Amino acid sequence: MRSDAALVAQVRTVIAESLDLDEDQLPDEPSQDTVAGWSSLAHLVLVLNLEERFGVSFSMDEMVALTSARRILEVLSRRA
Amino acid sequence: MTSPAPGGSATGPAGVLDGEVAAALLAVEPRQRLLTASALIGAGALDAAAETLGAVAERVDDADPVVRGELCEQLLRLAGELTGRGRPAAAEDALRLGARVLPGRAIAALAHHLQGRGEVTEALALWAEAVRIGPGEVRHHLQRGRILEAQLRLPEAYACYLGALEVLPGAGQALRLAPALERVAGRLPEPAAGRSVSIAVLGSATLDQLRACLVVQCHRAGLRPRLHLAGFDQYAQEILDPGSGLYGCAPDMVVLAVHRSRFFPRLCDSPHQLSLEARRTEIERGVATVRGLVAAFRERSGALLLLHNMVVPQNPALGIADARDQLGEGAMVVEINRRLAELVRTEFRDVHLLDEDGVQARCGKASATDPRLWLVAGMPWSDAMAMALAAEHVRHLRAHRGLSRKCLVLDLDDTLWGGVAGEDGAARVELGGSARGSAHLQFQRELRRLRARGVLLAICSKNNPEDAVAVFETRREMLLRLDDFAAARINWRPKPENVVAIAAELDIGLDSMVFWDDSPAERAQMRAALPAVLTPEVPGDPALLRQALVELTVFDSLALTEEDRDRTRLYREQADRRRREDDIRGSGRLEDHLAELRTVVEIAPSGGGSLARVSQLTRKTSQFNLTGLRLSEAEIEVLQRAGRRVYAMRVADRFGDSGLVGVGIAGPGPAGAGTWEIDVLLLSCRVIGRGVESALLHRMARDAREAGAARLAGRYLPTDRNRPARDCYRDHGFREAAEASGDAGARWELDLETSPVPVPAWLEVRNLVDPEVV
Repeated sequence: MRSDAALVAQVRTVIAESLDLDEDQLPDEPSQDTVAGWSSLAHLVLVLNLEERFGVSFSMDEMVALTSARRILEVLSRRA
Repeated sequence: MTSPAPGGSATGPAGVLDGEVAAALLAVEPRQRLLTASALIGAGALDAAAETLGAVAERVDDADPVVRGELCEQLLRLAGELTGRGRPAAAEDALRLGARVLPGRAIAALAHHLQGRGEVTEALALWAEAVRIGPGEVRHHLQRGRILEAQLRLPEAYACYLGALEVLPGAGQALRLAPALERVAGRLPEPAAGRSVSIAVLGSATLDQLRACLVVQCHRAGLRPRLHLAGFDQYAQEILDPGSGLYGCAPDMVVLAVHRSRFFPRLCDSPHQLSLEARRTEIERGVATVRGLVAAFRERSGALLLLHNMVVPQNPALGIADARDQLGEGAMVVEINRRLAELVRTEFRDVHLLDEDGVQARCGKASATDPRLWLVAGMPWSDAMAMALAAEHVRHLRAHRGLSRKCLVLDLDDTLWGGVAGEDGAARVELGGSARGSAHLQFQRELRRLRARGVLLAICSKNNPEDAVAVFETRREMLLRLDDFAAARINWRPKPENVVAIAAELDIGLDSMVFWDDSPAERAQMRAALPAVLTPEVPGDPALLRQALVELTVFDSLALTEEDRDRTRLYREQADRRRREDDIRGSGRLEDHLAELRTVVEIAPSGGGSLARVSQLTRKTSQFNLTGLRLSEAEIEVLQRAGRRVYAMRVADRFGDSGLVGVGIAGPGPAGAGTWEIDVLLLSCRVIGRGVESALLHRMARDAREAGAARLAGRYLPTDRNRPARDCYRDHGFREAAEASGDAGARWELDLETSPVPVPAWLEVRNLVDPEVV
């Protein structure tokens, strides 16, 4: 299984791509509160990207809850 | 490796056993090493892990897919840890090894890593390779496009994003690709005339998803869109406020996608609890609301308006009893849609009912919505549905812009019939009877339907002409006759050459043509030689031919005009005329020929009763068109109200009736009644070169004089196709009053006192008058 470090790196990559940012522009703990470009529309793009990248389908509650890298990691590791 | 495999020692002859044990060991060994490496990474002993993984990789060629996959995973994991510890060079080594072991899995990670380290050139090559291996991964296209953008290779970046659309037509990608396309398109040179379009989207939902799909579908169709999006449920405010963003964006097309709960709220909860009378009243009230909105819009804008119809619910409250109800939930929505269709057809111009119910049905109603997207984001459609809807909008837009295809060029063998005429013989090619023969007849039936609505059919076949013709002449089952085709090339020449010849014979552009052939090699040759010709994929199974043709939605017209029904005959007559003209030109007696044609011209004001055709001509005529002004019916009506006369010219000769083929729009200009301005002067290509424009100018000059004008003035705005019209004003005695400047084009004036416009002797002109004008 992927180690935390590799998974964290992958999630950061997806977040950066979805929000149209470079990875090094992301703070250590990216979230809807700390990243300016994380609009509600960008959030949907992010959700769709995550579904594609990790081959999962989120429930409505999960979709709403994926508001930070930490939360995304939590949801993904529950699915692993 | 010396450790014995567990439990592998006690049975059978020793020699055989040893061999099995050795094989088992070989299979187990790399797995054990991978477990070791994994533990080493976990313990932070990264160099030792790298060494172990390297050893496994050395013999990877013999390894099974599971080992390959796991090895690649461990290498990626190792690279992640190395990067985390600030050792990018070592991470790069691990990734390169991973990309060798399993390119599909690791090449993207390597490309990313190199990009991060500034190795842009190699990263670009790797992304291209990643796109080749895994074309279904949208991020590969996006990453490659982004580097190309950064290197200012903008056309390549644009092509990269467009390419992504072609391999990812499904959906879900639009929200990601639309921003990239808009970003690059904004930095590319201006598109060709008629290719940029302003679209406004209004509705009762969050429309960003539809917006993205529209951007994507427009770019696929070769259009450059600008989008204006109204807020959630802001449709009425935008329409009613003359200062709203809707009108501010000067739209060419407006989409009005409103859920039935907004227009017909009482019919959406428990309609069966209402009396029949109350339901009817509700329908009236809702339709009146729509009428009010559309009328208000029409007062302020002449743009094409697409009004979504209402979706018939899949699961009415009464269930299977709904159909017993005299006006059940399903029947009510059907009735509403009927009323809306009637409303837009009879009361408004350039308003079209967009069949959302039909699009949802094609998409599958159950999967046309995504309840998660609706609840989380207020988006009413699934991604697939939003893409299908945007495609439907673009169909209207293309037809409105005159960008629909006009001619379908068909192969014969294994297309019109099963088998090969030259080998099987006319008597034995399959037509009806067998399943295969029936499939080809079904295809012919669909072609006949296309022809009946104005699509030109042509033949391009590699055959001995007599073999192919024999099928048409001897097989009674044939639904299509040779004279159903506007042109035919049956020979052994390369097909691109024949298609060019057909385009020349019919005098239409290559970008109006579709090439249909069952041979992948012919299709590939056509795509390479003539990219402007649309060459769709053709299914190999004849059973699917009809469906593929129906789903090829590129021949749309917004309404059927009289000329559409008869188009094949018109083009055949025209080709006859031209052949005859060529004969006579050769002998230098053009005027004799023109006289021999016995041309009759009929000019009527007020659009000659067919504003739809007048509007169609302004959008489709590119050669003899002095100003290139494209006008919707609504815009023509605005001009009429402002005092312009809309002259419609019909032309007939001894070969047949060409129908409405010339338009002039003129009237008192801004400088006052002393000068009449010509806004539009155009001829369909069917009647160029016969002097009929003189009759049109003669009529406009006469009416201008009668209205007290002293001058008739017009402009020539050059485009890449309208050279045939360049000398029109000079040839008719106009003087150049102002040279071309910027977008304005040269201005030409005719002194009505001194220079009458003569009518050529070979024309018989009938000037009709409009009782309203006189």
